[in-house]
This record gives sequence, structure tokens and C-alpha cells, in this order.
Amino acid sequence: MKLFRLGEKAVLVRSGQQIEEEEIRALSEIIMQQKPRDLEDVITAYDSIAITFSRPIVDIEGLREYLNNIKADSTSIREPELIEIPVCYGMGMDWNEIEQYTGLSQSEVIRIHSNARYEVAMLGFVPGFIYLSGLPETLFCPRKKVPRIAVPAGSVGIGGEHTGMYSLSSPGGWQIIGLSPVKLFNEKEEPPVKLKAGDQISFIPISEKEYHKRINNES
Amino acid sequence: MSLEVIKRSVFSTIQDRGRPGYARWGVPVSGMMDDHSGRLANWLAGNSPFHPLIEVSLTGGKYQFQKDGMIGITGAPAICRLNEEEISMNISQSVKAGDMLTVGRLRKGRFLYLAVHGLEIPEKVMGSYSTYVPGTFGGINGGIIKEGDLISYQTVHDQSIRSVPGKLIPHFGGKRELRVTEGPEWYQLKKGQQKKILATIFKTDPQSNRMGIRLKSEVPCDISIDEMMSSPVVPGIVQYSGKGNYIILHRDGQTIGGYPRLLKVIDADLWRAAQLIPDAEVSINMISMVEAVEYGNYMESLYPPGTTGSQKG
Repeated sequence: MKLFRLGEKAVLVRSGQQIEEEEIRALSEIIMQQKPRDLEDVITAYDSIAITFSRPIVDIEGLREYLNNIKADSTSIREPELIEIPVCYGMGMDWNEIEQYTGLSQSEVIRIHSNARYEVAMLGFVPGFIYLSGLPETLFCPRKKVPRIAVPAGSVGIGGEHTGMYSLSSPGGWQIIGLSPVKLFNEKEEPPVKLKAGDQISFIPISEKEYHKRINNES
Repeated sequence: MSLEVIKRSVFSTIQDRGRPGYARWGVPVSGMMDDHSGRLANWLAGNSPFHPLIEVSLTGGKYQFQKDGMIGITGAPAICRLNEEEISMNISQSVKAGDMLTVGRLRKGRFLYLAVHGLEIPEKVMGSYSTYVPGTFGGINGGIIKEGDLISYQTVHDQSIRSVPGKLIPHFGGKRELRVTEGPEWYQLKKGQQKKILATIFKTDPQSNRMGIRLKSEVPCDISIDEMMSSPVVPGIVQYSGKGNYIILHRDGQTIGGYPRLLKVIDADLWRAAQLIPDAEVSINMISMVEAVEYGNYMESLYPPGTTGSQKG
């Protein structure tokens, strides 16, 4: 594991040869549970985490030692949950591009996308954005050349080798293949997102009628 | 009895310390862009340092007070009038019921702070009153402050007039040096390239906003911007986005980014970066982590008692 400074109050931990992505994720969970002194947050990405503190840290050797020690007994990782997310694929906005890039028909893409099992890789870069890994290679699709100014909330998209969901309306360049009525981000709840990195996701196709019914029930 | 917004500014929001601890959910910290000026405004108004206040950007606006109160105005210079009379910034100002405050266009800086004694915002979201406009939460209904908005405030008991010590009133203008430390990808640059960047005079791009301050230069950087795995970022991180362009991530910035993180503007200079006007000339001065922390402590020691506050607030 490699440590880098991310300013006065944060340290970046990156997986190296001895540490795998799953270990990085386990590490972030253990740090959150143990809450070392002055801990503010742990931000988890694919192969790195940032540990942020509420005061400046000049010397990181103590932290390095702490991380090496918890790495040694990082056997207890939380059981991931399986979450099913309904999606109306018919409401996707970029089917022409997706069919062109993948060489597959819409129904084939839907079949492959909804049969796969995904893993929550990270949350962010904006509130409620969910990056999923595990997209079948046949569905890899480059991002849009000109990003949308506002991708609607609930959009399910493909961006490069990943699939993911926009929980809040935000600018974005992913190819949108469907809309989900599920609200995965709620600023009024604690925590605001019910998912965690490592959780398993599968998508269940629903009709447009079902989508509207679920939207009306949610609000 | 409230403060009524008679004419809105282009982009004004309610801000406080922000919401640290939610970045793991993708939620930016938000909060005052220039917390140096913001906490001094609160001090003038007799508030705790990170009490929610009005962060005014670009143009000023018109505000009417429906009862007596105490206010403080700091930050980017602007002509301020109470009714017809011009008033000074950086000094406590008492207001009477019916008074109309007019704030002119901001000059030489991007953010002005209007603190009102005992300003009351109805609802905290994720531990903060700060507005995060892209997510439509916080502040007043998650949006910018608009005509007709009514914000209540408390009556003043302590009438003491305070004024910001001269040495704490920043110089606003078109030139600025920012202190930086090394970012995680800095070491991937060749020594010659590092030297070139440190000697570059950058210009601020008008596209800058609460998410980030964009810097332009003629010096392209010898580092790939396509191969990096997305990785965490914090406010102050300077990303290289290609073609000589850099972004200083700020309070509403994303939590994870895919561009090389070459530098980090020190926390004690982040407010200076926030105030950079379009086309300002920016030079950078690389210092050690120890110096960054020492400078931060030194800055804290300059504040009058009652403006420092605990880290929790």
C-alpha cells in the first residue's frame, strides 16, 4: 500500500502490489468502524481511499503504522447485500448510439444488461452517483462526445467499462439506457445513500406504465 | 419579521461551515468560499464564526429589514448603501425596521458576505445550512436567494460595534500568489516540467464557480490525462485537465476525480483562490507540509477572539 498527501488534512491510500481492491474496501470499512482520533471521513474509489481528518496531520508515519496493523487482521468484512433495481429500458435516450457502438439490438442489450450481476464500486463524484463494476464487455460503450447539461434523476447509463446510475439530475456524459423510479439518494435520510461499496446490484426490466406507477408511489 | 429580498443578486446562497463527513456519499463539503471574510462578517454581526450567512456573488442586490438588527459586510469590495447613505464594509452596522440595504456590483473579487445577527434558516440538511445548488438541497429550498424570499433573524441585545483590524482586510486585485503543496501525481512529472509549472503565470478563467477555479496557461503538461483511475479529491486539489488548463477544486467540488492531481492549494489560501477575478494573474509557491500547517496556525492566531471557533461548530 502506498500513502500520498492530499493536503494538510487528508491522506490518500492506494493499492499496490501487495494490496487488492477488495482489501482497500475492507480497509475503509474498518477505519470507519474504528474511528481513529480526529477522523472526519473515508472516501472510497476503485483502487484508492482518502482518509480525511478534522485537523492537520504533519507526520503520517503513525498513520502508516496504524494502517499496516489493521491490514494484518482485516478478515471481518461486512456481508454485501443484494439489491434489485427496477429500470424502464424503453425510456433510455441513447439507443441509437448504443446499438451502433455495441453492434447489438436494443433487446439484446437489455437482456445482457439485466442478466448481469454488478458490484457497487464507488459512490460519488456527485451526490448519489453510483459507479458499478461488472459490465459485460460486449456492452462497453464510449461516453457521449458532448455531455448532457442535465441527465435526469434515475438515469441508468453506460460510460466506458462501467454502468451506473445518476440519483440526482446532474451534468453527465454517459450513454443513457433507461430510467429507474428508485430514489437512491435522499438528503433528508441518514445516511443519504443506502448502498455501500461492495454491495451487489441487479437490474429488473419494467414497463413505462410500471415506471410511472412507481414514481407516483414514491412521491 | 424578516429580511426581505427586494432585488436578488446573480448568485447568492446561504452558507455556513459546510457538511464535512459526507464525501463518502459523494456529497461535497460546501460552505463559505471565502471563510476568512465570512467568519469576520459573522463577528461584526455578533454571531458565532460559522453562523449561516448570505454569500453574495458578482452583483449585490437589495435587502429590506423589517425590524431592528445588526449586520456585518465583508469580502469583495462593493458600494453599499443603507437607504441613501453610503456605508462602510468591515464594520458592524446597526439597522432599523424599514431600512433598505443596497449592495452594488462586486469589484476586484467574487464573493461578498452579508451576515445578519441571529439569521434563522429553517432546516439543516446533513448537518449544515449550506446551499448546494446542483443537488437542490440546503439553504432556502436548495436554491439561490430570490426576490421575495423572507429570512428571519433575531433582535440584537449586544449593540457593540466592531471593526475588522486593518491587517485582516485582504488586498483584492488582479494578482495573487497561492501557496501549494505536492499532489499525489506531482512526482510523476519530470523535474524540468515541475520547474516550468512552478515558474508559470496562470490566468483565471471566467468559467470558475463554487465547484472550482479554472486556471489557464500556455504550458501544456507532460502527463497523460486519460489513464488515471478515478480517485478521491478534496477542496484545494489542483487537477490538470489537459492543454495547459488546471482546476482548483473548491467547496462544491466533486469528491472523486479522474484527472492527475498535481498540486494542493494550502487550506489557509483556499479563500484567496475563491476571490480570484477573471483574468487575474496567479503564480504558485510550493512549500512543505510543515510550512503549510505553520502558516495555517499563524493565520488563525491573527483572528480576533470569537472568530476562530472550534473545528466542530
